[in-house]
Amino acid sequence: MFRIRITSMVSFFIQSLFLFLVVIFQISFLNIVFSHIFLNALLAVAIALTLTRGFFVAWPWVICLGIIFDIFSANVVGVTPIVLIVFSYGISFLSRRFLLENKTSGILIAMLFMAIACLFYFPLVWVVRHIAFGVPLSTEHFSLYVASTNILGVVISNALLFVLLYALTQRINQALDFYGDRVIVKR
Amino acid sequence: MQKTRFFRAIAICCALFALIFWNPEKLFYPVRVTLGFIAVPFERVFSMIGFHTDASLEFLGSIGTLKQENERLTAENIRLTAENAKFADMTKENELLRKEFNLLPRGTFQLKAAEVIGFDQQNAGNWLSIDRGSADGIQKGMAVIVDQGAVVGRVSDALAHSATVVLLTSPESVVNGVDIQTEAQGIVRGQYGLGIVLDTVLQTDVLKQGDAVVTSGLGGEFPRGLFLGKVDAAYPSNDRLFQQVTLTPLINFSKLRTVFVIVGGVK
Repeated sequence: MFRIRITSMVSFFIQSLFLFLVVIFQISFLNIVFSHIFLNALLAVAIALTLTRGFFVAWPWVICLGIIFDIFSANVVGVTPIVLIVFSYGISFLSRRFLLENKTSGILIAMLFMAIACLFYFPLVWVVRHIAFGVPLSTEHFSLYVASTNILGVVISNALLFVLLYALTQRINQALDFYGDRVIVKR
Repeated sequence: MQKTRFFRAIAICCALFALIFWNPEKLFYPVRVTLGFIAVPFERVFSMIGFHTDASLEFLGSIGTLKQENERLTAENIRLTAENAKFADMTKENELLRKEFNLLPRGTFQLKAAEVIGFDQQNAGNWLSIDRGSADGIQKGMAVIVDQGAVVGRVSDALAHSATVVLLTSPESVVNGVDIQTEAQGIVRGQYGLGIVLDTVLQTDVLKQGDAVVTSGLGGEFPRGLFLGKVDAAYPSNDRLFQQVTLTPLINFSKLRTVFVIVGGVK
């Protein structure tokens, strides 16, 4: 009689596949369909993972997500994980203090955080690139960015995307928890 | 326990910064190759769905303006047909003159067509991925254009069946440009997806709005004469030594579906 526990290996594989597909979904679907309003699935999943798992469990996955994106992109590997981990810590900080108890107000505050975070995402990427490689950056870039961004559109669409991806992430985590606790007995 | 975890997270962040500074391209190359190989079919499917969805949404949004658009296109068609007839005549005359002066025929580039399968948003890294790679003769540094001869960017990384192209609007993109009308030279740089600028133009050069700026051919990476953008406005640089000129690109980078990589020189 064998006892096989569907544990960390399957969970790791499914979680990695999910992150991989999120990156592909971002670069080959969202960026094409919504080319004028940037929908940030990476940030949404990073925040959703932090909310569902807690920062100290989620951060390795958030870093993985960033690294996968950087590997696919022309970015130097390391830029996106740093930016994502900052926002991940931010939502963890907020959740510890304000939003965990009430589910409705909690998700609303998380949506608000997502909406604000997606506006600050690119400026933070620029700052990291500026610190790391000295890529020129001036206040003109920020004013141009503000002028060229449809702030209301970005805020609303990212908040909605977050709700969808949060529900999906929660589902996957519940399934992983369920299978993770199961023991298959083979004779 | 929480404190230890927190310090572990801080240590990881420091490690990531170290990773950025160290930038070990060779370390990630095998991972990039493997992931790239696995991802191409997914990217193809996702991008195909994406382009179809985008086209459908655009169609739905444009129903109201179709009548006006149709009238405008009909008028433009008549104008272009007349212009085309005039140019056909001029081409014939040009050929005759070239023959007369023993000049070589005007060359065309050896191009490799590629489909866009991934795209980064205007403000992040400014790149796109294409479904052709080193197996198709694509190499790092090759120029990428659209069919009118307008520059899209250059190949920054070529895997076996896909490649990454850094767009002209990226801050890391640097191309030597020249104003066709005034011969004023400068360096064209991207502005984080927010536009492009012709930098280090001499104060004595006078550029007019609407002037065409093309690649100068200096440096050898881009052949001369590829379109970069039209002059929008000129203003002095921060140190007041040069002029900076904002350019309007011809291409809508977010709508690119097919691009051409210049794989060889003039035929």
